[in-house]
Amino acid sequence: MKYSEILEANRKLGNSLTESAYPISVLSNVVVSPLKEVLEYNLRSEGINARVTLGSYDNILQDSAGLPDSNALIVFWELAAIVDGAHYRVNLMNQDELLALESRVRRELDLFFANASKARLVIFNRFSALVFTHHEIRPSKLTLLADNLNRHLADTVPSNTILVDLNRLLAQVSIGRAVDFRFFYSSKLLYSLDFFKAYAGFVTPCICSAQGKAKKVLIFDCDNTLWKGVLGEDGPNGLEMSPATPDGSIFREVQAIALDLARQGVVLGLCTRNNLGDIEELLQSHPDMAVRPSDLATIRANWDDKASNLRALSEELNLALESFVFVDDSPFELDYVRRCLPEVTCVQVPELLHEYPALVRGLSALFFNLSLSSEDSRRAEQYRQERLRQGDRARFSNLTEYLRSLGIKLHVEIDNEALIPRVAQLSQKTNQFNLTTRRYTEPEIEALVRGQNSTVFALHAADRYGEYGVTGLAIVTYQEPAVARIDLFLLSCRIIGRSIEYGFFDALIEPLLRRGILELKASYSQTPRNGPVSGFWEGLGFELTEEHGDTKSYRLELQRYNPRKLDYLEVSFG
Amino acid sequence: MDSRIRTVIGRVFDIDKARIDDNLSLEELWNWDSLQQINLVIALEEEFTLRFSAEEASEMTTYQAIREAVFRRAGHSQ
Repeated sequence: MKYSEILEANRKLGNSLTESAYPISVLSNVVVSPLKEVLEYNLRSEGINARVTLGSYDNILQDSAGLPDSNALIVFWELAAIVDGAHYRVNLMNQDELLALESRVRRELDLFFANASKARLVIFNRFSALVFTHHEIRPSKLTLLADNLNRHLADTVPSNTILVDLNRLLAQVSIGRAVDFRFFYSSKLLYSLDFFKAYAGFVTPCICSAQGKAKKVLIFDCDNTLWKGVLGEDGPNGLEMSPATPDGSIFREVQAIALDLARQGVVLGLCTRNNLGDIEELLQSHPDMAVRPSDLATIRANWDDKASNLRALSEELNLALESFVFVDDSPFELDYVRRCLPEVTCVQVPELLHEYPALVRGLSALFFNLSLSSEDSRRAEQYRQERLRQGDRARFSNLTEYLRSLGIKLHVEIDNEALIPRVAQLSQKTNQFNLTTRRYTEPEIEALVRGQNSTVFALHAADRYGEYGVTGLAIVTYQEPAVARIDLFLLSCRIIGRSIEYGFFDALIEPLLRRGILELKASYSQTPRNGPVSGFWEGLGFELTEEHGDTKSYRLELQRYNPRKLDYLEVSFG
Repeated sequence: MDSRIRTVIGRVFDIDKARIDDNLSLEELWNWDSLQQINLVIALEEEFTLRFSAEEASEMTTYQAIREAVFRRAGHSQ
């Protein structure tokens, strides 16, 4: 299905589904926005009323601390973005730098999984360097880093987590088609639409399974489905299902895959227009059969229609038809079943027979369930208990501790003309942490910088891993004596989630007091994107004075303001 | 081709195809933002099997600009 059709169909499904919402938060350090609609559509088509929200960009840890446990999480923690430009910087690092980076990411991972330990489901991508390293003859530092981090993941993930092997998806889509460097450099969007479709296709069965919607029953027709030929016409000796012939090899392989699924707990059955006695005889004694009576939960061999048979099977096995997958070679039979029993997943033997084994192998994802090996689940359980002991308070102090470890430095510049282009650009591009979302042109900013009745505060942010550049902006205007108004207050999404906004706001106070300002006015104008900051002014102690449409107005007596003085933010002025 | 372009825009922004004329400016739509712009670009690329440059992608914010870009790229790829 084309993307634009998905967008439209998803909107309709979203309006028509009545099931309670299944919230999914996608947390990422790259932009993955096209995944939202594709995944919602996939899940809604399966009757799961998914509501996907995208976390703020590059705020995985901070976001994970604040989400309700009822949310499922999908995490894109891209190796290329663990620090800005990791995909080329890591290979230039010396041993100490590498170790420091690896241990930092390990700590971040531990903190993330502690935060997410009670989430209903976590889908976490393994680290992959493949996009940047597939040409390598000897493994580079980047490859080794990915391997080390993946080992750490394997050792620590809790039982609510599924690890997704990105390398397999990249192989499935092909690297060239899976990445789109065009938007990587401009918007941090690394993956292509093709990739997101494949990704959504991969995780949909995981989520269905976690929601109890995994398939449980696999029913095969027989003639030209389990073997080549028609038993009633060709006789047992005329059937092909052994490696002696090319087509026989294919049916042999399909039987072996079905057998493997049965041994993993899938309920395997037959439903065929044949005499029961003939089928039983064949299953017992035909030398080429891989599937034997003991592998089958049920056999329906009669001359009734298949829909009635499947309905009877559902009663016999006491399993809902939603959990049935039915494989047949006849389009006519399948069409009839589809129309009578739309809840059954129908699979047709492909016309190009060589595609058949891969198709059946692919079905195994539908039967996916979350059970792990006993050793895995024991380790996961220990991990979970450990986290429970540490409790919620530990979670909070850990985040502060983490922020402290970043060594965040803020530098505030007042009316700096050199920054005019960057400041105008920030005002035009920032959507999320933006209280008023007023857009300014360069000439407008220039007038505000030079004018006597306004001050433009530009914020530089940096931490021990690098510079974020000019990423915060406040514009204050003075219209009446002793009163100032904050016309604009914004933070780039690159630095949100670190409480930098409080440090930045505190930094405005001193210059304003010096100017003789006693009262500060501010406002919040709601847009589709800035909901998360709707309570920002209240949080600082502002008092609501007026509410008009989407805009709320506030005031604050400066003398009564209580600065937060966050000790992990180091603030300077220029 | 015009009709298909309008269909894609209509689907991405949930607006009636008939409302889309030469004067349409996407940035005036309530649900336009940079992510929707990316949605539009990748939907058009898929629809017409073509690729825009990053610069084109950011400039395609009016119906006229979109139309010109699609025709230009479709011409090149033929």
